[in-house]
Amino acid sequence: MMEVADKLFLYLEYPFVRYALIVGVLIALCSSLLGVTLVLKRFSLIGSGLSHVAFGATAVAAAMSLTNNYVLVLPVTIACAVLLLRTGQNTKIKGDAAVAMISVGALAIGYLIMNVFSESANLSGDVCATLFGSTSILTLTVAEVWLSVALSILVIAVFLLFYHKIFAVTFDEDFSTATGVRAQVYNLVFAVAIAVIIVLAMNLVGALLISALVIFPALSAMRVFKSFRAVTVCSVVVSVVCAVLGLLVSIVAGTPVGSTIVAVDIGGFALFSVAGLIARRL
Amino acid sequence: MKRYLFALIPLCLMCALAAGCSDDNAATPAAPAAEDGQEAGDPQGEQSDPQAAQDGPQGPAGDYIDLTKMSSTMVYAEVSNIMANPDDYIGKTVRMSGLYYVEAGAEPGKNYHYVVIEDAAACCRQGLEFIWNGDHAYPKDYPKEQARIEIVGVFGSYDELGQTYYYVAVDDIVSE
Repeated sequence: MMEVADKLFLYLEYPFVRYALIVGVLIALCSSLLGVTLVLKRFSLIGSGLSHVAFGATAVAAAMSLTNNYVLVLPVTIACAVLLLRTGQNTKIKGDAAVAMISVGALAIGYLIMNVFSESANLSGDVCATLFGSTSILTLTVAEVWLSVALSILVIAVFLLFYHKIFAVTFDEDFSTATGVRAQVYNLVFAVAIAVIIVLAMNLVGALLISALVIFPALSAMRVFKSFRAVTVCSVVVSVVCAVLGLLVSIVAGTPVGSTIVAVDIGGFALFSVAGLIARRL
Repeated sequence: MKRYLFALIPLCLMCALAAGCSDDNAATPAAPAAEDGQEAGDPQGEQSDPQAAQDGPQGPAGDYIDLTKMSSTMVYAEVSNIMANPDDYIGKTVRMSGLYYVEAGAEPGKNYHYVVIEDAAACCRQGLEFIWNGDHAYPKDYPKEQARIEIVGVFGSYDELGQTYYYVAVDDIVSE
């Protein structure tokens, strides 16, 4: 036990481990803040769809040899997030069909572009790293850390500023609109915030596992709490604890970062489910 | 209040379970490889004594980086860091184990030797070039390609065709 603690303290001396913890905590915090609303609005899979869009945009950025792929990935993902939330009201293509269409299309096109245009000698490695995160979070540059911090603060500020409006739009969009709340504007702001978090979270857990960061903390909190505020606060705590634990376990035990964090999230969900059952019976 | 208590229990359990995870990832060196060999190019950077460095402070602040004692996730991240900021590591002693790879150079008889490590997901690879100090002939004295080897040496750089390359100057190669 002491050996593990010594090893952990030694690892924490490395700047890239501290950067990973800072960015990991911020991403977990932001994703869980938005996760509660997404789950309640029945948009759980939008995270998955947008992460595939981000993967496709990353492939295009790689083919264009862009040194900073955020320049392309962020606007494309934001555009698709807006499109997906708008098509939720479109009768021609229903919400879930639109998510599936964009998700699968972006994944396929991204992989195609990577295969045809990539100059990398390790294509399967690049694809695997983008899809599963690999150790991306441990290889962040100082500039990427600052960008992540700035974007996370922006998302948190948006959530806190518009908390009451988001609450109203989440539970009854039609009623909110009838009472003068500009639901479409808030949906748009929310879509931008989701897209930002998805792009940031790709570093932490990879494109395929992002949904877990959004869904599991919210669902875990819902097993025990019932009010929107309590669920949101609990979801944030669960998400941050799971991200930190997953990150520390992965660097000590040598397991892949993204899947370890998601495994801890699943464990958290199981424990909260049991706690919720016991709480209801007492 | 009761609900808050019930929310605390799973969180405490998760922390307790996570505290039980560990990994002993120390490499076990086996028989030493053959000697004799190859010229170490025109190295730059301050050359420290590997043995003295091993006795000094470890971690990012020290002059000795023992990658064999780190988990695979940390090894990959640290090697990525070395490749991203190589100048910060010049003169430091590096111990690492990985798969041995060789690449033929443009000039006949010129070869470049690498230790390659993989990340925990086994999808990404990083390689560090090493130069074996002394007189060693390839392939006679070197390990078989893709054999697991362990090296200890001083990190340095050399210039070739107007480009700066980084390598580890090793005195011995231990292969499994």
